[in-house]
Amino acid sequence: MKNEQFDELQIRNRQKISYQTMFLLLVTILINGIVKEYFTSDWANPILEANILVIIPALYFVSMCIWKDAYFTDTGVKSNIVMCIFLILGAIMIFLAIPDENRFIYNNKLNFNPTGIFFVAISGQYWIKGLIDRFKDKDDE
Amino acid sequence: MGKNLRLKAARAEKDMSQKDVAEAVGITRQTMNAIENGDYNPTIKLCRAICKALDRTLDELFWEN
Repeated sequence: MKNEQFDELQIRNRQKISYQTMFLLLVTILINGIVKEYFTSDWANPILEANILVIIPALYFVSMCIWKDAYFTDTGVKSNIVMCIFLILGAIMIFLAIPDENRFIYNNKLNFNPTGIFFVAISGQYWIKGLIDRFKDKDDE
Repeated sequence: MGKNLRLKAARAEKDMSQKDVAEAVGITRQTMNAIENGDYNPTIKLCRAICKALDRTLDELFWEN
């Protein structure tokens, strides 16, 4: 078993989370369709709309993988470097995405790209989970 | 499925932490914790690996009377 990258519980959890993510994606697409049909024609630019429809399930998938230990359990230097890059990248993206005069909604349309939040949320959750695990390891010892 | 106290006792007898056993078997500490707490029913392959790491038999650690 030593050569396998992920153990059986991690793989099982990943499959569960994948199903949930797929369901969430379908629900977000459905909600988007209903909102556009019955409430407002466009709530964001097409590319921003697509971006958000992808980000919501993706953030759910990554977050659940972190908290359910399905992936991202390696707390080595390599992972920390990747998470640092995510944090910096996310912070830059948030900074660049902040609209002029803080108009997050402009002309009844969303005017803020939340991709940066996605990256910052991943790195933040990863480190918080790592800290919790470290405390749990100490308790176990 | 209840807690596997025999597994916990066998681990304590060998003076190993959950992390030590997990590393010896090639799983994460969280998985080992889930097995001990009865939250996860491991495959026979994993049971055998844990038995080998703790020098016990399958009956001793996993057989429910």
